[in-house]
Amino acid sequence: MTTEILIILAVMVAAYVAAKAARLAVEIAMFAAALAGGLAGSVLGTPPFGELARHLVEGSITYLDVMLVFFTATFFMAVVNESGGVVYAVRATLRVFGRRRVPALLALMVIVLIPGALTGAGSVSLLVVGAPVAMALGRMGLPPKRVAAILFIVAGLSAAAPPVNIWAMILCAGTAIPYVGFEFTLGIPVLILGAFTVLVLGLRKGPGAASGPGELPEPPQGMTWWRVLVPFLVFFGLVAAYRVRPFATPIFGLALEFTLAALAAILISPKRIAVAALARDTVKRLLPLLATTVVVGMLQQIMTATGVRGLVSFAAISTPLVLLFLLLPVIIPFSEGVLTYGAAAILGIPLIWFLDSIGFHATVVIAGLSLLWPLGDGLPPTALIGRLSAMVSGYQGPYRDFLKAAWLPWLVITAAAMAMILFSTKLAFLVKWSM
Amino acid sequence: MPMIIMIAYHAITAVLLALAVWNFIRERERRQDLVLYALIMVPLLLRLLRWK
Amino acid sequence: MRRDRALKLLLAAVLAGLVLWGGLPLRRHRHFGVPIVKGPGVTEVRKLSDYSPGLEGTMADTSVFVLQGREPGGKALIMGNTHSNEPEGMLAALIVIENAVVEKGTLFVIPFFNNSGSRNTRPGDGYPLYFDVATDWGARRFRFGNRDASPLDQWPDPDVYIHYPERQLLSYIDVRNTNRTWPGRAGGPLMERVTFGAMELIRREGVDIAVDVHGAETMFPVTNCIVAPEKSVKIATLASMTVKAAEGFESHVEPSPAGFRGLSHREIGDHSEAMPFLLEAPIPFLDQPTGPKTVRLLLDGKDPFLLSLSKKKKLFVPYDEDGWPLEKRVGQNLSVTLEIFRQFTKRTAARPIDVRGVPRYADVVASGVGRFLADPSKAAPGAVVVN
Repeated sequence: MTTEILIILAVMVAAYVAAKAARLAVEIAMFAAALAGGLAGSVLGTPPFGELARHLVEGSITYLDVMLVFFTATFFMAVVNESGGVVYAVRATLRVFGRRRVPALLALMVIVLIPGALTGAGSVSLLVVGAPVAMALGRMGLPPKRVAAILFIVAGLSAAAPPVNIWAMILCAGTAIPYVGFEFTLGIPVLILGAFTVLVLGLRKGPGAASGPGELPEPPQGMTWWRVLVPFLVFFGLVAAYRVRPFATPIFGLALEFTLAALAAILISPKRIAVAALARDTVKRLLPLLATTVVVGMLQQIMTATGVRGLVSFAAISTPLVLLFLLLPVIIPFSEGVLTYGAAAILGIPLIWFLDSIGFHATVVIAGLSLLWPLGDGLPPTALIGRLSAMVSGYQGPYRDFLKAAWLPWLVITAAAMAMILFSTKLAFLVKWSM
Repeated sequence: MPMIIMIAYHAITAVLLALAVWNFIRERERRQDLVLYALIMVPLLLRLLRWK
Repeated sequence: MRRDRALKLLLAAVLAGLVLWGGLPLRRHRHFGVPIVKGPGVTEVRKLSDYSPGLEGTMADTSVFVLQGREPGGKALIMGNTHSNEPEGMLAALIVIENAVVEKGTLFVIPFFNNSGSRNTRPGDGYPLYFDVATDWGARRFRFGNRDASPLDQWPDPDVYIHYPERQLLSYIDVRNTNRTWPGRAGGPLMERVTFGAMELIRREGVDIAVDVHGAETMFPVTNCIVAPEKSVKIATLASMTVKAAEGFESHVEPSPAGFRGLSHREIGDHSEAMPFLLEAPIPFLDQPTGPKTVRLLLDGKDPFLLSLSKKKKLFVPYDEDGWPLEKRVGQNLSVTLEIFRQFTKRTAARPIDVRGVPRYADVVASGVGRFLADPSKAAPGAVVVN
């Protein structure tokens, strides 16, 4: 069986490489890998050829909700931007903090952390506040490369931050461990690592930065604080309402919350918004990301149906413990780069059961792992958060260079995460504090 | 209320599908984007047909 | 320009073909009816919406089979397919419905507890859509479902699920998991209405024992066991010891953690007089490190990766070349359930539950699951319920 699966895996890799060599987009290359893997599987017996289309189609819907959140959140921010709200907010932020660089950086970090912490999605942080924060950082003298690096790392941390951490939730749901005790266990490392990141990457001004606040475009006539804030209040109000009164509030879901916030922004915008054109443009800009969410689901489904996913999981679990710990900083982010959230289930669930059974503290280990996963969101082929960071910060250079700019926070986060995993029992007090 | 919200979600899905179809028809420069539009239509159609 | 139009038409045709070829089987799966034959002991078939009106007309409504005994006694509820990708629970419930004769007491059996989940597939996990169980008269086909209800019936998910009434934060996906939504609410999300229906049944009918029958991964520490809260633990321990001594298989007792909310083994006991038990039989199909997810793996539970991991002592159950076949899983679920009834009857003589005609572990292992499934095509008119 192992030989057949290895052949299928080789066919998938070959199809991906061939598609990339033919200068096809990364999403098409991933689709080619899924298709080729499915066909190879059919030739070797599993899945039957007649089921191939069903597997592709079924896999495509795995992340439909994520796709809808991407679309509605980006559309919402596009409306806010179009109405002049972003420029207005950035000018005000820079006015308040003036030359006080450290508090300004820390405040911007907190602004990026909040949406992701509330929703569990770093993408939401970037889509909602990424553009204004990027503009503010630019006006503080940072070049786009470092702005993108800051956004990527802090948005990743925001996804790991409590109260909602989707990796931890998937792991808890899959391992029957209650999703409790994460507030300090995740909150303290996220704040420390976030502060470290913004200070290391943001304290120094750099070449190629935009000029000072004075040269920002003027916001449209009639723009006021409340016009900027109301749409955000609608969004955060709906998110908070379910938290505060969960049994009296209907479940709106993030996509509808963003849609309602966008409607509010359209209604109170001081200038007329061309809604249809803006929506079409949003879909055009988001196309690679939307296609990624579809193709990753297909790839995941084919990998499972053919046994490739099982083999990957088996290889990770069979690795001797010391080697496993040495490899974790590589395989965890890499798995996220290939499979996004699917990686948490494939590698994470058996890993947690195994580590729990040999005396590690499961909650702390889950927290540690969930600091490593967001790093993978910058890695190809998917690179969801990395690509979004580049998009919202207007970074145009080579993707590799911006990732290199984040090397120091990347290393420190990896070290912190590994320390949490290795010394999980000693850090169990964080869980107790949280309860 | 849950029923209204569910209908709203179908509406959001339909809007996204309509925008994808619109862009697909209008796209003239980037051939590869046509494939991507076709791909993202798969789950949207599946949900709107209420097959999955 | 003309080439562009041709490409667009070609892509549209491929898209339509893919959606039809791949999508129609998913639609058929959702609407595929499983016939259930009313056995000699079935006296009435109700709907869960009789207890939770908010389910009426939805795909989450499901059949409740009542087996009223010849003499009065205690009352028990058996639930299968709480997780519809763990079919050893549903098959155990079906065997009870199609074979049991109740001498004393009353049984309520819900074979498709999360009916919406049983009509859902698991995107990204490459499951088969159906599985066939071989019988003396041919194969009997079942839907292979998902752990969670279908978003076609309950959409959207929240960004985090807040458990009622304890307010514990649970994964967003657990809002569609009927082993996290207990005790439920009449007007809550659809899956809370499902568990609320079962709670109402338990409370209104005065159910003494509730058995929720599952399967669990071999790499999951809580597998091959009876999960019981404080009030059920004595009976669970006696049942565990008895099946080990008398029938030669292991099913240890796991305490139900008080701090983990929403599970049947916790909330049923906390919100009613009933004693809950959750049975877990090992199902290798659900483990992550396995080969392809085939019907064969589902049925025989044989996998080379798990065998290798077992030798490295990474599984929580003994595992050899024989795998962990369906017969063993269904058989042990049946034996443990019957043993729980017997131990309850011994301790509570005034409310006996005496069930005959249900095969035990050795019978199912020797003869196969299909031996105890009826042929719907030969059933008397009106004796088949399609779920």
